[in-house]
Amino acid sequence: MPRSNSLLRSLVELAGSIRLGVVLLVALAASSVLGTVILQSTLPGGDALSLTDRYGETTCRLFEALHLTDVFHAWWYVALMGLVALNVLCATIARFSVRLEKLGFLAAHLGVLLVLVAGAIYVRFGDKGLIVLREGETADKYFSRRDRFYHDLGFSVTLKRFRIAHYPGQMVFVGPQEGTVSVRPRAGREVSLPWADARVRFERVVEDARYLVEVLPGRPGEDAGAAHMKIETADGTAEVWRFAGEDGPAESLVTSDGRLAVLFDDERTRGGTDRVPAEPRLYLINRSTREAASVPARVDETFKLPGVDPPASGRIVAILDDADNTTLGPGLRLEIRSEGSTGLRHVFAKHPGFNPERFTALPVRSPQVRFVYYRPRVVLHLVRTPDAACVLRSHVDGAWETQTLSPNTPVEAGPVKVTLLEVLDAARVEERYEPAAEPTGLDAALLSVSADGERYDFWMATAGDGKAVKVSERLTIGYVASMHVRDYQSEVTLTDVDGASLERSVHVNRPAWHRGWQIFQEGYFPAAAGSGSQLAVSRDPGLLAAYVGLVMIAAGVFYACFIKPVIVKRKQRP
Amino acid sequence: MSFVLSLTLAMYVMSGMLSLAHSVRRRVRLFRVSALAVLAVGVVVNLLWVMTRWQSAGFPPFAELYGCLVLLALCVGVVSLSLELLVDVRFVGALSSLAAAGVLVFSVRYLGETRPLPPALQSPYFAPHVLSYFIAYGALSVAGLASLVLLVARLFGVGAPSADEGRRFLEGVEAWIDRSAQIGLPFLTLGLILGGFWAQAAYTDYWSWDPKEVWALITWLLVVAWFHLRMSSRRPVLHAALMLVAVAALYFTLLGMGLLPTAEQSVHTYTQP
Repeated sequence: MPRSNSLLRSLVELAGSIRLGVVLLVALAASSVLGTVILQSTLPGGDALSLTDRYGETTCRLFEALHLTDVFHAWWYVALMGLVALNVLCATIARFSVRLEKLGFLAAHLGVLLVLVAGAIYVRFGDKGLIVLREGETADKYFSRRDRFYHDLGFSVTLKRFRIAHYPGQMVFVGPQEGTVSVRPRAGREVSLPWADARVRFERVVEDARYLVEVLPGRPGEDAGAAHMKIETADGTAEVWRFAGEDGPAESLVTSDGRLAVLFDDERTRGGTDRVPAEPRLYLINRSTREAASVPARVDETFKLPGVDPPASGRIVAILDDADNTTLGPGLRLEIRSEGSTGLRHVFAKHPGFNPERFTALPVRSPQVRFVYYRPRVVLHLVRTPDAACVLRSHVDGAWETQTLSPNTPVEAGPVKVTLLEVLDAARVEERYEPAAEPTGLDAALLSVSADGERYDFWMATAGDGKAVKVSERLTIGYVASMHVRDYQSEVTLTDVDGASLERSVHVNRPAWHRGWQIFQEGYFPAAAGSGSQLAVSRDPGLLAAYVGLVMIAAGVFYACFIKPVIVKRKQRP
Repeated sequence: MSFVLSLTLAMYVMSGMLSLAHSVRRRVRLFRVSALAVLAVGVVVNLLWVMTRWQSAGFPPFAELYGCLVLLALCVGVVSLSLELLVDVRFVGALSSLAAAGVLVFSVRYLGETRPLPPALQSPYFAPHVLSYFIAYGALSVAGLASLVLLVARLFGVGAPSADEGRRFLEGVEAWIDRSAQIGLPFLTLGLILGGFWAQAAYTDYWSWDPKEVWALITWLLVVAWFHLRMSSRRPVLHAALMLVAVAALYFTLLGMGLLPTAEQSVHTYTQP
């Protein structure tokens, strides 16, 4: 630099001094510690309710005033990073030279600057979000993690197939005290359980099994009746069995697209046709106390969370039904209030088990309350009248219509075509398992058990809540699915606006690229929550710069620590 | 603990004892030679355990803390052996070997059933990320021990019978700190960056301010601060103190995440106790 710039030069040298650098690095490290010892609102479980729960009202206000509940995005933390960047920049300028032993210094320091710039580019221009799909569904919008609204993706994603594979399950034999035996079933394997006076033989073992259910005539007067129907919609055809009076919580009525509810009532054994709600409703079901409440799904409807202590109430803030053909499908945005704190929560009709707040910073509490958004567009209610005739009451576009059904004759109910295939006065279910063409994560075994001189043959599977079978007073058998997932992946079709499409397979750790977006396999829902694939999308124009910067840092540090000492030593040699 | 690891432990302890004997009786060369030989055997046996375990499981045995700590013992052993060959300095090598033994003993706490590998860990970054980190952890552990020796020697004047020999001893210890830190920082950096690449592929973010990530960054910042302090000041006590803080942060990153209130907010909890 010329002499006239000596003031500037000494300023740059001062700002780029090593000692200042040390102070800044230690200060940055110390501030970062704060962001790990105080709950952070940007991470899962850091919602306003949890924060006030933990720290109390006053401390929480103080933390918020100092931005301590979001340290890493606080102005003072960003300013500190800015000072580090300035220090690095000035140091690079002040000590700039292209000598061989300086290469490591240059690469590492320029790399740090590049990474910080890349981060700023992401913050300014990037976004990340979620897409939740079931097989066959298409989305062209994503649920942004940043503002929690839907945004256009610029292309559409269709989930062709979702596959999940588990590690094999374990069969557990539990006795009174003597012991528990745990084995991995294998066809032909025999297990002897002397303490239960029992022998078990695995006749068939199906890993990655497909569940086949057969409905057979049952015991008259004891078993409920059942109806077998074929239902054709624009999306496809399904054959369903419905048992009489099958009621349960409203969520069991939510079908795969959240629009079709199918029920069967046999008036000869059980009356009551008023139990069929046709309007969209929000159900709140307390899992522990079994208390339930429901309100119409309308904006500004208020409700109380049943059986929650301290009491909590809520209000429907918005209806996300414009999201019908997008990622998560129709949903409600709720505001939950408890002890003076307020938080948001979302509930989606198609995905009762899905809670996007896990991935964002929004408040949610009362985990014992299950939120269900019941939103039928079409209700099909098959009623068997006392004179054994079958009547279809269908609710389409706000009006009820009644038609008489005769077997194997299709009738139209709005957009749906219904064919009655069979009605049984009493029905029972027989299940069996067959190998599936692809991984299902379900293991099943056909057991032959001899205990106390009796012989039992039955199927067991790892599905559901792990039903145990009590064979005798001294022997209970459970089939425990491995909780360990081996792999899951989505096969997707990506279609551009111009109609061009391509197929991609998205695995954990192996995202797909398309038009500046990266598509990740982030998670999935278990079948109980309506199985679906949860994809994450990310657009980060600074990613390449970040990678180059990171590689420069690593290369620079390796150079400085391993190569530079050799060069310096050679130069020192006489 | 398996036979192979018991043997490794015995070798590390024996090497530490022989090295200690050499620290006290400098004239007896046999102590040094045998200490190095025994340490070398320990390192080879330790490596064999890692390789056979890797081979039999079909994936790197670092998904559980137990395997990671056995790897840490190996890395401490390897770094200590190579530095011992370069710089013969009293007490530091002995302490390093004993530290490797200590890590092995500590690892037994986490001995348990092996779990199958979850999908997120089925990544080409898994092995290089963990290996880089544990080479760094091994090297920085040695740097921390040497810093401790330096602090004790400086503050209490231990281990310096004559002024000349005392000066040479301190220079030797400083050389140990410098060299181990020079191994530690590059691998710490590589581990952090590979972790970022991996997180980008698995969790959409190369950086997400997750508690474990933040503590890895804190450790890195402190080690980088140490290097800059080393260049800009000539106060060995200050250097040693900063290195000890950095190594404390390192061990907190490895073992202390469960103590943080934000721990339940972390996604990197595979190897947590």
